[in-house]
Formats: sequence, C-alpha cells, structure tokens
Amino acid sequence: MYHKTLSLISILVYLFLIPIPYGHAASVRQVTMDEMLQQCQFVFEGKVLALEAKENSQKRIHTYVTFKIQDIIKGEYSSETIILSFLGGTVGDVTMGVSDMKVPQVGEHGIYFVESLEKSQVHPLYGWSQGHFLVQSDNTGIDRVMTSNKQAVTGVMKDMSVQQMNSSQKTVPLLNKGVASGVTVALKDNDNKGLTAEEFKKILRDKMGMGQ
Amino acid sequence: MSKYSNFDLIKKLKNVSILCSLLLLVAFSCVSTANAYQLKNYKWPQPSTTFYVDIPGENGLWNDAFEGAMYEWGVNTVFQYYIVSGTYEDPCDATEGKNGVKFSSTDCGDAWGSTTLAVCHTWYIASTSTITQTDIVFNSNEPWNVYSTSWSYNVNDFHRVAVHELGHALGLGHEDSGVSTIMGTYAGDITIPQQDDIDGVAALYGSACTYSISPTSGSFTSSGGSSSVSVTASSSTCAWTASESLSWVSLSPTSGTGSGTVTVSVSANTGSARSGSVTIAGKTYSISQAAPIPGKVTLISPLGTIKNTIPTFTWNEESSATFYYLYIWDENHNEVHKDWYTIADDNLNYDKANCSNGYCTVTLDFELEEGSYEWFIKVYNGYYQGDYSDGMSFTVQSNIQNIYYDDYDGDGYGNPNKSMSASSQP
Repeated sequence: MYHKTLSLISILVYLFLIPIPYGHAASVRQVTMDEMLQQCQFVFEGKVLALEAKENSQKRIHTYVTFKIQDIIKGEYSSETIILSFLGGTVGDVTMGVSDMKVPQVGEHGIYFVESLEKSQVHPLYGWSQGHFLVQSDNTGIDRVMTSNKQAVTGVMKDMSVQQMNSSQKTVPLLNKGVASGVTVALKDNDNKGLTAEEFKKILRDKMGMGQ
Repeated sequence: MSKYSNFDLIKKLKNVSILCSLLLLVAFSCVSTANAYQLKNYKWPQPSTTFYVDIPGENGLWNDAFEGAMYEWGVNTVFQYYIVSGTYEDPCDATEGKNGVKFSSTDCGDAWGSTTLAVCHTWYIASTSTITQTDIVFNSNEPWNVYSTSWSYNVNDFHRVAVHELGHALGLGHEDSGVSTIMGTYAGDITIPQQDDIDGVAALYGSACTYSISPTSGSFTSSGGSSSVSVTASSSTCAWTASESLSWVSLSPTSGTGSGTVTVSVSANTGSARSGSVTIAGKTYSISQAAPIPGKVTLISPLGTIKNTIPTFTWNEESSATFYYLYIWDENHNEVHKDWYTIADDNLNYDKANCSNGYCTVTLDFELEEGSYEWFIKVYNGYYQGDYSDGMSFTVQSNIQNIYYDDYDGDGYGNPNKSMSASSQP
C-alpha cells in the first residue's frame, strides 16, 4: 500500500518536474544543457561585483558587469574577475531596454555559461536566461541552484532522454518557464529541495567528462 | 481478513482521491489564466506608434508580414501601430526617435550569438517610464519564412516572431505562466495576440471600446413614428455617434458617451414602401417602412347596358398598386369571377392588368351570359390591401336593338320623328 502510494506520488512529482522539450524562443532559441556545455567557451561560478552602463554615439547602451570568478567549470581565464557586456541599461534618465534581457545585479551569485570570450554579443550568456543560473543559500545555509526565474533546479536530463521526450511531445508544454531543455525545475519557487551548487556543478563536470 | 482488506481499499481510495485533488489544485494554480500578462515598466505616452518599414527581399514578403503583425495588435485593443511603408529608418540609430526594423547579421554591431533570433530595443525615459523609440532587428543568419502552420524547427516564422517582438515594443514582457499567449518565451503554434495579451494591452492603455445596439432593425407603418434603440458601450468613457443619410429619418441624439438611447424618428410615407439604414455607435440599424394603405379606385366601365359579352373593365390607376383584384357578381350576388391581376410585366403567375395614362384595363377571357352584374376592384400595394371600390353595375344584352333615325330631308342628320329599332343598320 505504501509502496503504491509512493509510486503515485512519484508519478505526480514527475508530472510537475517535467523537463522542457526542445523549442524556439520568439527571440531566443531554446537549447539543451549538453549543447550549452559544448558550445560555451567559459562556464564559471561567480559573484557580481559592479555594473557600469555606457552609451555609444547612436545612443545604444551596454551594461558592463564585473564578476568575481569563484570556480571555473569549463574553460580558462587568467584573471580573478571578468567583465561581460549586456546590451541595454540606463544612462542618466534614459534607459535602453532589450526584450527579455536580465542583467545580473550587484551581489548576485550564480553560475554563468559564457558563449564567447572574444566577441561582444547582444547577450553574453548562452541562450540568454538558459545560461544564467542563480546560487542562493537555503534556510539551512546550503547553496542551491535556481534558474534566473528563481525556480529551484532539481535535475538535468541526458540529451537522449530529452530527445525521446521531444519525439513524443511536439508542442511546448504549459509549464515552460524559459529554461534550457532537459533542465528540470521545481514547481514551487524557492523550493529547498533543488540541487545544491556542488551537485549541479558535478553534473556539469560529469557531462563534460563523458565527452558530451 | 476480508474486513481489513476492504478497509485498506477505502484508505487507498481516499489517499488517491486526496492526491488527485491536490493534483488538480496545483494544476489549476499553475495554469490560472487571470491577468497572467507581464508588463514592462514602460509604455508609450499614447496608445499608438509608427514604424518605418522597408525590409528588402522576397518580393515584399517581409514587409507584408511585418505590416500584418502590426495590424494584429490593433484587433480588440486600443493600441494602433501605424506604418510608413517604403521608408527605411535604421533601427541601430536611436538618435532620431523613429522606429525601424531590419534584418542584420549583427545586432547593430553586437554578435547575435548562437541562439538569438530577434531583438526588440526600447528606449524610454526612466523618470516617466515613457517610451521614446523602439526598434526590432531580426537575425539574418537564421533561416526565415512566413507560415501559419505549426512552428517548424527548421525555419523560423517571421510573422509570429514579429508579432511577439511588437508585443515587447508596446510594453509587454514575457509570459510563461501557462496561459495561451503570443508573449511566451518560446514560440509555438500561437501566431496572433491572445486574450491574455489583449488584457495586457488594456492594462497599459485602456480597453478598446466595444458597442452593441438593440434592436438592430425596426419596421414602421406608412404613418411613421419613432422607436428607441439602446446603445450599450463597454465603458462609460466610450464615445459614439449616430448618423443617417435618409431624408425621411432623423436621430436624436446624434452622439453620446457610454451606454444610452437613440430615438429613431421616421416620417410618414405617401409613396411606395421604402427601406434604408442608419449607423448608431458603428452598428447598422435597418429601417423598413410600409407604403400607405391604398385607397379606393374609381371604376369607369362597363356601365349600363352593353352588347359585348367579353367586356373590358376599366378603372383609374392607383400609383402604389402592385396588384388589382377584380370581383364580379350577378344580380343575385352569386360570384361570377374573382382574380388577382399583376401590373408587372414579368410575373407569369398572374394575368396582367394593363395600366397606362392613368387607367388600367382587364379583359375577361370568357364570355358573360346575358344578365345583370356588378363589379368591384381592390388594390394591393405589396403590404396592404385597400378597400373594395364602389360597385359598378352593367347589363349584358347581346341582342339589344339600336335606334336609327332616318335623314328624311337629307341634311345629314336624322329626323327624330322618323325612327326605327333594329339590331343592325337597316
């Protein structure tokens, strides 16, 4: 009896932690975690130290975000800090907004998937918010990983599993929250049951170690 | 043993029920559709803006699709995108305050990266949250086409991405709570703004005014009269007008705000039946008015004693008539003949009454026996039958003898003192 109830609960939990199948954003293409790891030049855990917005002659504004690098998951970088350029920002009373752009704020702690260290991109993170994870301490002091929409990350599926799901589910599901395909999230915000930062980074490193 | 088993089953069912209830509760909370739209913290100072659209290529496909996408935001919202076609404004230049759109291999110098399809830039004054310019740039490195079928993973649909970006351009953010929306982070089969998007625009700029009227038509007698038409507006601030171009109709009032009533007055009709329409709050109110009840016609002949057994009946024409009804009875009031006669040339279902110069005639298609008769005519004008005319009596006497007068003195005139009766000239 207990076992069956547990099975039912598992099914329900699975339904609500369902990963997002592959799709396209109206402005940003949806990607998978494996693709992000393969294509990103630099993946790191860090903290935002400073923001500076500058306007060019055509009134385009970029916000330059300085991160302190705490842990490198992929790639190499010689300095302890890195500056990434995000399109948009505020200079004086004028703001240039960019659809769906979320610029990390000072003090933010996260794991960031940088697509290129050479090119100035509209958004430096791979797949925009898909390559943007937050790290926040839960009420026990353990660092846990959340999406940029502050949904607890509960797991990362293998691409093969994602592809199998995609082949059986052609439409974008209702619970799509704009995260990478294969990343499972908790339904409830600030759920303490998500992956710890160490668990999440281990998954990423394992994926890279498997040559994916 | 059996008792305990049943108890376990009941517990199991109760647990399943509870879990299902929880599932439904959570599911409903997840897909709640109430005000799910996301608003940016800026908007246009007025519910409109203009895009300069000149996107080369594909024989105007992109221009047409972008214009179509602009149009979609005007449906059921107060927001209007206006277009200046054929004029290019560089979306990378934010110094002119003009909204532009283009394809580009970079976003104004910034690399697109591997995943970006299009971007909407919006400049606004932070202190007033007022937009001063917005631009849209599409990634020309990506494959594009225009289609309305399900989203293809091989080629992006330019139209629905344009609709989505234009949603950003007027102040909407991404909406991922699960409602049906064009503003979801990821594109799917939705190609146009949904109700939640329309509600979002209403939250930014107010609701579009919608109107209805009741009733939507009125029928009036020939004597005319007035009728009330209720106007229902979606908001007390929604203004409307009432207009007509019919000389025989007047409206009062001719404008209003919010819900109200319009009185439609129709003057008397002295001619044929008529119809038309007026416009009240953008809706059509149809009016029809009957012709007046036709009056009695005046009969002319046959009258008195006649020899012809197939007489021709003649009466004065009634201008509104479409049919005439001939009724004949004999001296004992036994019905001899009754029939409708049309004045139309093309109505083959009825015999025709020939009308000209103010007179109408009908000739019977059978012989009357000798005897006395009385005949009547009544008129039908398409709406009403008039009263019967006054009767006219005649007698058919085929052997009637004429009176001839002899021209005794040869002066060309008969002599009244020398006469004879004969059926034919002696």
